[in-house]
Amino acid sequence: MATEDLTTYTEVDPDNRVVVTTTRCTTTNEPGTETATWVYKDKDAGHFGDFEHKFDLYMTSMQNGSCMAHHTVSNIVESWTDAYGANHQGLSTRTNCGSGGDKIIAIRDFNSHNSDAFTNLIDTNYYCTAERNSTTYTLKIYSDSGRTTLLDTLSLTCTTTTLRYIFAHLCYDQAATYGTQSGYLENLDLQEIPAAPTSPALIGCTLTTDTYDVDINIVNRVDFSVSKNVVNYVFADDTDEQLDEGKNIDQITLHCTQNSNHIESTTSLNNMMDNQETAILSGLDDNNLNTDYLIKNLSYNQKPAESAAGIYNISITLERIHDVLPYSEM
Amino acid sequence: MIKIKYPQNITNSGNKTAFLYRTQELLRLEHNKHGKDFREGKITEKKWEDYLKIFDKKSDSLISDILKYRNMLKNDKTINDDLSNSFEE
Repeated sequence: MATEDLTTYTEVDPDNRVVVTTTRCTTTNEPGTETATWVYKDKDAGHFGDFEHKFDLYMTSMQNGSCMAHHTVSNIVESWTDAYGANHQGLSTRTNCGSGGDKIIAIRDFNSHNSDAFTNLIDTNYYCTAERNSTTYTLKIYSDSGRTTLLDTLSLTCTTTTLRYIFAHLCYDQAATYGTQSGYLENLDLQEIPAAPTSPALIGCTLTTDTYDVDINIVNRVDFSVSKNVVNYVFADDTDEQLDEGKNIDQITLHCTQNSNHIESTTSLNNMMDNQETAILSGLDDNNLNTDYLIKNLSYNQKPAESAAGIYNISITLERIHDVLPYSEM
Repeated sequence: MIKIKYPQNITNSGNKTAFLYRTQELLRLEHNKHGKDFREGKITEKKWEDYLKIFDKKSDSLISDILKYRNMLKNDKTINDDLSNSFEE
């Protein structure tokens, strides 16, 4: 997935604390008392349900008695303290240095005030994955970009209210603070598939066009990953029939999950195995909204033998037909 | 969700929370061992990703119980119900 172009975000910066490039939002010597400095994007109401966002965090200075926020998803454009104090809906990652010099990366739910924290160091890269899954919000913190070395998992109980704004930086705005912080957020990846173009209306953008190795471990069932956050399962409905000839596949069910939402569709699929026809999958997503896809070009590199388990090469093209929801909300 | 198996001698919220955090730490160390093996080419990407699927399920179960018992601790008045005696003057 592509990282966010932060130059497209709205920057409110009356005291010139922030410098924004395509991938990085750097804040320099921002006091915790800063009242109206933020870098955000309005993604429209209801945009963020469950989500998984990635970002890197690097702090170069955290004086005692200082605080500022970074990745934040909320329903209001206000300072951290104003949003928190008014119990607005939002989830925020902030860096805080207490009067005793303890430095932490902390997550907080503005509404419930639930929180969790990790002791951090300055001049150290932290690779973060923020995930909301229903009423659970977690921040996994890694020391490497490949996310193979986990440092800590923060967690809190949150609300399920959908959220609108994404922040790359948010000032703290607390009169009791007296120190400043410097650092940056980088490589913010919302892991969303770009929205389909509105014109032409019939066919949206291609969702998947890749080829994947799959392991058929259950007769008549094919599991394959399409992309990082999309998992499709395709199987024939009749367990007496085999994947030996396309004509034997009389129905196909496709499960598609994106950002934890789930779509299940079933359609007739005669001869699909021979790459001769296309079919439309219609179903309801988790929001009970109709979503139609054009599935085509489903093919195998070889015909699996009857009852055979093994690795097969599958390619599939899935196109969205009706632009009911942005892809990111599938 | 994978159910957490608590030792028989661990019954109250405090001990369960401690057990969960320690188990989460053990899981983190196991994760990083597999991650190191992957970085060093000792295991394939598929094995690493297969491990992550199991890790995520276990991690989610731990977090679910951590949040549950942590909340019970926060609201347990038998542990502390008097802020005035909680700090040295």
